[in-house]
Amino acid sequence: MPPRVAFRASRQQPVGVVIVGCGAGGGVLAKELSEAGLTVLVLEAGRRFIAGVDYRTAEREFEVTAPTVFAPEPSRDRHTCHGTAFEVSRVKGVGGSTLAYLAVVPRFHPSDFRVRSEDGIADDWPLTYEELESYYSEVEYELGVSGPDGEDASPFEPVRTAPYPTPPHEFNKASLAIKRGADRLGWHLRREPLAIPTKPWHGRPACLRAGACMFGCAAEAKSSIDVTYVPKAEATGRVEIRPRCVAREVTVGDDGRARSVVYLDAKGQEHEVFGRVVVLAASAIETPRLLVMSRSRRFPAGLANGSGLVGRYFMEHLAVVAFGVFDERLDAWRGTPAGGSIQDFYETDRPNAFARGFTIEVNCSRQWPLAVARRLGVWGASHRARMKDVFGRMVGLATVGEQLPDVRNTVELDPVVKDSFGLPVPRITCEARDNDRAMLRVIPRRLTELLEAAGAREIWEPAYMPGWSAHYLGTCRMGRDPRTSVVDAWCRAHEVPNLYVGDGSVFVTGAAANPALTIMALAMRTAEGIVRAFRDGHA
Amino acid sequence: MLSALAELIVPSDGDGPGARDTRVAESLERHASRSAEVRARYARGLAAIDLVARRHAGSPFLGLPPARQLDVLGRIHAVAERVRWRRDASWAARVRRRLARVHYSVAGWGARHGMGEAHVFFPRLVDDVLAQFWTSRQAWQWVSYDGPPMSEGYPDLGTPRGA
Ligand SMILES: Cc1cc2nc3c(=O)[nH]c(=O)nc-3n(C[C@H](O)[C@H](O)[C@H](O)COP(=O)(O)OP(=O)(O)OC[C@H]3O[C@@H](n4cnc5c(N)ncnc54)[C@H](O)[C@@H]3O)c2cc1C
Ligand code: SF4
Repeated sequence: MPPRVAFRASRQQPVGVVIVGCGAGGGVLAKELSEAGLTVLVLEAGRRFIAGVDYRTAEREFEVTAPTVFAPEPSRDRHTCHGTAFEVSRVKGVGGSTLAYLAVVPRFHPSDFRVRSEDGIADDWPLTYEELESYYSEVEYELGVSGPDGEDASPFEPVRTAPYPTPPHEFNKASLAIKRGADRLGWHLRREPLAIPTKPWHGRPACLRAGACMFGCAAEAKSSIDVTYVPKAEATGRVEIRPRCVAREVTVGDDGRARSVVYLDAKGQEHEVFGRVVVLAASAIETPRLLVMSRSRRFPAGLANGSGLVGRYFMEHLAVVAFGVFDERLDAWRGTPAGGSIQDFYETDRPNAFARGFTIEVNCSRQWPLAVARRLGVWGASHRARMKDVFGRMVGLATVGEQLPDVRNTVELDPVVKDSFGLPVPRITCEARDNDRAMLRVIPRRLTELLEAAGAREIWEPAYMPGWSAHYLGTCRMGRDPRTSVVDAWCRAHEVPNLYVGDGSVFVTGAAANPALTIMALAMRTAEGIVRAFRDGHA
Repeated sequence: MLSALAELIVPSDGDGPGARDTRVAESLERHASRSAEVRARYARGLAAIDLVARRHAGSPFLGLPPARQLDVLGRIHAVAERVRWRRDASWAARVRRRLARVHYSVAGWGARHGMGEAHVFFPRLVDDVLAQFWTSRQAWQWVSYDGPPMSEGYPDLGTPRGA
């Protein structure tokens, strides 16, 4: 759908709100703020993708060509690691990482917001599940989330005030094989909530069960931000999205308020835009980077970084991946890549040597011929025989384990390495700490147990894959106390009254659930706070 | 030489299609001819494999019987595995990897090791061959894969498309 641009921000006049980043958080904010009557300028580092044109999932060579579409630009999108190598998986573009997400959108559980009260570790969020519940529902209806209600619902599902907008997806044969094991063990494998409607939704078609969500959905069936929130935002006539514009600094005025955003366009030329409010929604890696790059005399350690906590408490989810090979054909590539989840180990269980828990997900992605051939890692006479033996009979499991926040896990500026604009690249330190390591000792056993119970004839040793979760969180945490947090309960910077953070960086803890829905629900709530600030004359 | 290598990586036999049947070498040549950089990489890589064959088996690669050719590739593969990227990003690990790479690359490092670029090129060649082979319709048919995700999707989760 071509963008509708009725509004163009002028160079001199400040707009109502400048948003940096048009992903899960930024896209929601753009719609909510513009529908409330504010003018909005969105700076987005990546380009705009057109579903029917850019995605390459219908080609014979799709396994080679489709992954190139969202591939990082090697000189622009660099990062370095300190310690364990950390693979970064994200997308820059109008829609952000939701362009590639598998659209698994569970809610967090009530206990996730009270980790310190319940478990005596980490911190509580400055808001509760109950306060976020109505926002969860509204986002679910915007996305047309499919999920099971009634008897089919997960027994661990938190209280909801509205049913899922669309019915759940069917299980494919691979998920049914795993379900057999889960049933035997008394675990509850259920269809997970997916932002993939099972019936036509808001003018988009129902899912074709093509299984290519990570390469962009050419049918526009997957509810990514570019086909849900962005068109609604642009339809207000009050939003301008500028793709291929990389923010490099937020400036502050003498009054200590955010004044402008300096950015570089596709040609590397510098521009400045002014807003009464600035929202950073560039992701938990890029938002702290931008804040620390925005050093000034007033904020020598980086903007809004009086606490020294910008970039600290970086979290991802502990992703342990296992594969099972079965005697029967599973043909796992048919249907959505996500194939159901088990939340029996989600909450803290006292006998464990660790607090909090993990979700097990059936992962049907990348079971195509070339992906399996590469995974086997053999060539020569045995290659084809091995392929014949395992192809179509394999299914994956992956965990979303709760990594606890740790002040030593960080996103900082690399002191040496620069990107193509000459800006310092993010340097990531993300180690599994004590509690994480204890959990990582148990997860492989559970995965193996499940595959055995399901009747797998071959089980590949579960492997922990740092970075693989693609769920990057923390780094500008919320809290009531400016000494121990960066933003307040409305995601407003403690130190800069017109600066907000609208992405996954504000998370206090990471829970054991995929984060996109919570990022969107929080962004919606933050938009409400911003609109109130305008109304009350504080913006 | 490319077709000999492709055939060793995915052999054709009575059991099913291989690189020869799916014209992998021709596709790779087309692929290489599209960019000067890839063409140069292929030229250097093939020359390096040939050099390893001369050093270790005393003959140009193409002059060797298939079993000896496989020996040469096996030797290159073993070195490639040793210097493969691992998850450890510490300085010590990086230095170790760099040293190993230099150690195995330096031509003339005793006739027993010098790999030139062979151990860097060979894993990429394997990947290129697999990519060409496993995106061919013959290979799909052989393993009963019903084709790319779009534009039809999979209307029935239990049975192949169009069955
Ligand atoms: C392959 C994959 C699968 C995933 N699957 C799931 C899933 O099933 N469920 C789930 O909940 N989550 C999933 N995720 C994660 C989810 O997509 C992210 O957690 C979520 O999108 C993060 O939202 P965000 O707003 O913090 O950042 P993003 O959505 O990444 O958006 C940030 C945007 O900011 C832009 N930006 C960055 N820096 C700048 C700058 N300096 N100037 C201007 N713009 C900038 C980026 O280009 C990007 O578009 C997946 C992610 C990937 C990559
Ligand atoms: S599984 Fe559904 S949502 Fe995902 S790419 Fe296919 S049609 Fe789109």
